[in-house]
Amino acid sequence: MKAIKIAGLLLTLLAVSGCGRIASPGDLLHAPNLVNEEQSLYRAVQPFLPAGYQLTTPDQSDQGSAIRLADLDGDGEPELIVSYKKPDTDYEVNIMILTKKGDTWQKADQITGSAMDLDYLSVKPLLHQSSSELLLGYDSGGSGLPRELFVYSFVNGKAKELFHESYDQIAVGDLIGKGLDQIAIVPPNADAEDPHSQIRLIGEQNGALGILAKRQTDGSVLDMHIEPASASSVNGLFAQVMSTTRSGYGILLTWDNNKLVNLLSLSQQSYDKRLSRKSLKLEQPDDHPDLSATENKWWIDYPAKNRDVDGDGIWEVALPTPVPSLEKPSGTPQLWSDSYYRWDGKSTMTFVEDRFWQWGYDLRIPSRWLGKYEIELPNEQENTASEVRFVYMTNDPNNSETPKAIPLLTLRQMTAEAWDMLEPLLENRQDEYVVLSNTRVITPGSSSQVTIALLPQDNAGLTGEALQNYESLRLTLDEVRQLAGIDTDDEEEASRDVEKY
Amino acid sequence: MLKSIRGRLLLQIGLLLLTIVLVLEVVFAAAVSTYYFDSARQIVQSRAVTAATLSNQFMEGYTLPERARYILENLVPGESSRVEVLDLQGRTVVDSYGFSSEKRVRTADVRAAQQGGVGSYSGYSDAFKQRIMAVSSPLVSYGEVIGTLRFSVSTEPLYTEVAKLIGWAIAIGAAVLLLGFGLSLIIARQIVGPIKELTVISRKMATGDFTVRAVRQHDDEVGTLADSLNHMNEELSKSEKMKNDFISTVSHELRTPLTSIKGWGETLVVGGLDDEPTTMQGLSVITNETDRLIGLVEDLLDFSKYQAGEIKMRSVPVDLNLLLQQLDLQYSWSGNKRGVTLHTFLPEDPLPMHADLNRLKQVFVNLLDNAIKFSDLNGEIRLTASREDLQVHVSVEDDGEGIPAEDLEKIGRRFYKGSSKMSGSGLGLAISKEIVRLHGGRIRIESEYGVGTTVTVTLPLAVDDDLSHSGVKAHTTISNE
Repeated sequence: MKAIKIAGLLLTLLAVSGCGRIASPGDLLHAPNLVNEEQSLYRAVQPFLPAGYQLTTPDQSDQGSAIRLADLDGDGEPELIVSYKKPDTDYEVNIMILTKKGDTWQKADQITGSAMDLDYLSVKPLLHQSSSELLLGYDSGGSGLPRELFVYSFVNGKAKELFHESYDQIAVGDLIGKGLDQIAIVPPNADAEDPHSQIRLIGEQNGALGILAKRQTDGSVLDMHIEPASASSVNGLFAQVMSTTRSGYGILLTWDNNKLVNLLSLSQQSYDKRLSRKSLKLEQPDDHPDLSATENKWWIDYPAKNRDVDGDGIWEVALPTPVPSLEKPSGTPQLWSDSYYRWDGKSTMTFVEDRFWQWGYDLRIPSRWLGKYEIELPNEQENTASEVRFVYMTNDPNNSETPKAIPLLTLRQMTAEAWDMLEPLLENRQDEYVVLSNTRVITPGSSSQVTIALLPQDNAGLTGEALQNYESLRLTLDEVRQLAGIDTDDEEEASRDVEKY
Repeated sequence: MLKSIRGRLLLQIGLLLLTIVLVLEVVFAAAVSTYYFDSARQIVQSRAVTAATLSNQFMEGYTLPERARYILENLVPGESSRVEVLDLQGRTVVDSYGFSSEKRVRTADVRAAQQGGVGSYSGYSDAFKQRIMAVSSPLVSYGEVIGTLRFSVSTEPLYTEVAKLIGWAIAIGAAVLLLGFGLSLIIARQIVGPIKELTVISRKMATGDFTVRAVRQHDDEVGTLADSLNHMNEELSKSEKMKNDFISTVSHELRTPLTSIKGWGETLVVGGLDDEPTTMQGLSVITNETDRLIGLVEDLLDFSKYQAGEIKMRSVPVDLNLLLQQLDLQYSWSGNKRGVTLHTFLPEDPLPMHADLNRLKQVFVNLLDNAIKFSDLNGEIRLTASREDLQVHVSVEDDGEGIPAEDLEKIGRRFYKGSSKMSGSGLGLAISKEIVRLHGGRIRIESEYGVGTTVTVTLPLAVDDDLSHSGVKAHTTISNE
């Protein structure tokens, strides 16, 4: 009996001591601890930030962190730059610069800008290759209001304003190729009615920042970037001008013989060859101060994004091109692909690839299809927007007079409910398909949409050469995934390190 | 060990407890970890989905960096998750610590979000050198996924907590096992202890020590065993006493006739055979005493046969009335030395039954002899038979010295002779009882000390009355003996 009492006591003790400390799952959750440098940087800035601070990030930047390391003064020791807002002041953005003294970080200077948000932040060498300047662009908040660019140098632990300019568009990069960066800006229009705008190139001039070149345009400038333009590591300024005369044109400005020139000088004759999706021959680069002076242009029917489409580090220029479509009664929309061209460093734009954009899906058209496929939209009016079919055109084996369209790939968008009904059917028939996107339960009010790519199941009774051709065009599921840019790599958790400038 | 009750108890209870504890532990562990990890995932998921929904609703049309900034600036104070905004390539636009990264996050949750769904992921993160759980929700602008909002938490505290709880559960389970083991030891001791004591006692009893007594500790089966052991002991000691009594009685009974035989034998040897009358008297005494000895020995033989169960009744249909009438004649006619008169009251009708008449006669002779023996000189005894339904009561009544109340119970046990000084083996009534029992009847003795004794034999009758013939036959058999 004594043993029972003792055991009971023990059990009670166990229960009390053990159960008293049971934590609920919610209490236990905390963010994974930062490791390595991030943690030390995050801790380092805490003592200098006011209570209730909010970290803020720039909309455009060479590196989007709110806390970043960069060597401003060129002493080999990076400074710590923190952008934040104070809780009680709405119209203020603060940039704090910390320097490292020994093992501790100390506040060196603070720049306070009167603005809603930080639009731009980068650290670039503008005047000397050894040190860098801090470029800050403030956003006043309204869409029509100009943004303000301030350039600071950091000398002897203090930030010194070097330059100040309003801007509408900004791009920074080494256009000249001498190890220093230049700032390309489009100043805001003084008069809202005036469609003309300017591109100014600002850079080192006799030890200070000055305007190196200007280009007049007859429309608004969009999507301006300074990026590598050719394999010979020449940078170019990519932009699009939405002109008032025709829909618009793309420009690629480079620095050539101390002049700013537009490479995309395309004669009408060359331009008309774009449907072939072959390389395009360029005319002599255009160095006229007014870009609207010549009609030799890279005409675009809508603004397609210039980008590094093939991931080789060199940017390509987009050229919207109609896709080959089966003849349709009028009223059917014209479908476009974005054709991408890369500058060969001389006077040719090399065709890289075709992108077909549909329902948020950016499908690369396989190069072996080029010239051999057409696009077919279903006849049913209501379904026009929900299905696109890539077809192979051949003569009907039974009736050589009538051409026949054999599907190569079908893109179809449908509601989630329709997909729920279709999926088992496809599984049953063992059809090959890829789900490209499945937007469920994200935005209330918007219906869930599912986009799939369907592959044909047979060769539609083709024979001979037609069959051979058709088979060579057919895609595998993996190819479709690759073309649609769906990740097929093994999953992994990115290991993190602070981006070093 | 398994040959003892204690070992079996320990093993069985131990195994049972172990099974129960193990099953409970497994269920508990599964339930706890499911609860913790599912709850955590739900919490993180609800936060991620809420934040992404808000952003999708109110910031449609904004660029991803703008939305990232808004999310960063409007984090809940003390947000317990790490919040990341990832672009379509999985690069961190910004996280809740204000850092961005060019490294691509490509876990399952991010892929799901890039496809437009809400995904979750648990696993080891090389970046944080710990296990994490992450939930990603897509950031959508005009129906197009532009990025991913990812909430991640460390799952190490969950693992720690779950491990702690399971550890406690194992500790408690071990404690329960120990407790159960201890309890079963106690139980085993409580069961086995008394049994061991009883074993010692019964061994002592076996060696003939009738003074020992088993102590009844609990009112249970072992207690009952102790009681019956004690009872057995009492009976054994009684038997022992009875045996001793019997031996002395029988020795005495055997010696008395032997003494007179020897006396007369010596007288005859010494005196010669000249005096014929004396010689004749001596021889007659020797003969009589020898008869007594034979009778005594026959009684003993009979009794031992009854005890061994060797006596079989040869039941045949008979009429009891005839037997009783015959006895009446025998005793009335022969008379006896004590001058006791027999009065017989018998029914007119026959009393049919299945019985071994010789044995029944032995019973009644014994009863009548006893009655005569214990009657006063020239007293009277009464033999009465009365029928009641299918039973017959035959009583033998005397006006003799009677039996003291304390002896009444023991009458009829073997070798019991009562306090009377009369001679006899003490077997007669015991044998009679056995015979009557074998006939399906019983003997009842009523007596008042100093007034008289009535012995009633109750016997079952046969159903059919058609026995007169066989009854006569039985009667004939008896007369022939």
